[in-house]
Amino acid sequence: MNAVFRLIGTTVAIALCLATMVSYAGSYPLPDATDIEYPDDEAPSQRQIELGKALFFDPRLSENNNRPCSSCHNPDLGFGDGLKLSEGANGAPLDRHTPSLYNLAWGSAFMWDGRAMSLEEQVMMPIVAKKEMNLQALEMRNRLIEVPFYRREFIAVFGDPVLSKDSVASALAAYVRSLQVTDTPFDRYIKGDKHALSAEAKRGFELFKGKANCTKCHDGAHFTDDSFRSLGIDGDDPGRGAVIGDASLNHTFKTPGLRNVSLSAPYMHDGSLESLEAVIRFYNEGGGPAKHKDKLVTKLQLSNSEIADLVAFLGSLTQLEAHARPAQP
Amino acid sequence: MSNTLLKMFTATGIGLAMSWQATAASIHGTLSFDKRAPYGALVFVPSSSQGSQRVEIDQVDKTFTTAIAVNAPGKAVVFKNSDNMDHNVYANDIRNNARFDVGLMSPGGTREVEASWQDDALIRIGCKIHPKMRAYIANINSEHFSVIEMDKTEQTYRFTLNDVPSNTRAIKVLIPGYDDLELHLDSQIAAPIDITKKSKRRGQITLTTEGLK
Repeated sequence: MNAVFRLIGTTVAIALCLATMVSYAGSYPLPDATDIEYPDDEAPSQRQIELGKALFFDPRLSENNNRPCSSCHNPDLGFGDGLKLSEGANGAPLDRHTPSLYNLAWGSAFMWDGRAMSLEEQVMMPIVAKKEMNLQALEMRNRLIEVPFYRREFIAVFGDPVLSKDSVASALAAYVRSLQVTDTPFDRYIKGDKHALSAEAKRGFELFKGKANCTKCHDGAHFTDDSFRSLGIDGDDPGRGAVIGDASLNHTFKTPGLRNVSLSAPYMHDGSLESLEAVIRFYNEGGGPAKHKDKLVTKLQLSNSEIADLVAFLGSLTQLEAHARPAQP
Repeated sequence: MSNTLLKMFTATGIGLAMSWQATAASIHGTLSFDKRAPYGALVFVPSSSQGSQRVEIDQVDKTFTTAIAVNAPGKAVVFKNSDNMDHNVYANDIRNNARFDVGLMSPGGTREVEASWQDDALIRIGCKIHPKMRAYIANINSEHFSVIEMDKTEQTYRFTLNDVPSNTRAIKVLIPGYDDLELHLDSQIAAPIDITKKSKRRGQITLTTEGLK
């Protein structure tokens, strides 16, 4: 009889456990690889991704052979560079802070002002930009075609013996699309592991969706709706407005995704806020003073404890992994 | 393929004005894609008569409420914002002469735009603030059309155009991002026809008909 009671007890315990897990599952959208819209309606091959990775870390893609993409998008710094503003090709600071590259596979507009409508378009922009890598397409091709590895791989991947600019863009974009953060403590929590988040992070998640108003823009699986907003930061950078010729969107910038955000300080399009706590305190005060501030940005009345909870939640969106640099071909 | 998996709805005009024609004919088709299906498709019987459809597209939860809207050329398209945040609606399709921008639309706002762009074109609209938002408006004269909404899980979709004139000779297929198709029912109906994107095959369409003369 005792055995029967033990069996019933065990069954009830398992059922309760499963019920608890199920109650967490599906309560927030998570990244879905099938939502990615590839240019050719099909995911790239691993070989194409590896070719893009080799290019991403290759300094040949800069005028002076000293600035690979990874010099600003450093994998050890969340694919940012840890600087307020990166140093440009001529030593002067660039106009905007280096953005992180995570989960751009799901993006719909790229660069802080959204001027690139595809990753293929975006990845070539810093390479040819005079202030950045300053390498023109013809010179890029002339350099790469001298390298046996590239000649072999471009033929194998694209059937392209001339190493066209489009093939370079396609390979680089394939690598950037592969930078995906999909297995964080937060993901595990939503999938049912109620112990994956600390109590602080759980409270922070509730604040994120509620009192702190974050999901007005930082929503969905990647914590961004890709919208363009002004947070009231002073400055004469017209941002999105200049790209689309609409003054009503002057000084607006793209809402960045937040997966692995704790790795890529400082923050904002001008790199003006050095920590996530500073960012939340900035929002708590109702953003910056500029008149063009979006009306969604208002004072939040968060306590110090609530600010700490939000920082803990943002930390739970982190997926640490080593990114080995490939040897230069 | 199960009917429940079909994301299809048919918005077939009644065509009362054409009642002199025999209207017992039907056209059935299957669209099959080699890889992921596109956003959707519009299949229609072209007509020389002025259409009467007038489109209203709303914005809710950062989404356009209609994926592919069918408008009659020259009629006004009404845009609404029932969301709780500002939006915008614009089109910038130079090839089809569709360029407009309604400006900033606050919650509760309404704007009208005359569909003065090229006939038989499927143009993309978006929101400058929320680039993930998209929808398409077709500018067509037709009493018989079918909008087929597609998703990432299915590669095959069926459609039916009922009560079409029995002397129908052609249908058109418009798919966002794909090459336009005009299918002549007399000569092409026997074999599957390629669906192409930038001239590369991306799938096939097969047709059967009933009652065509």
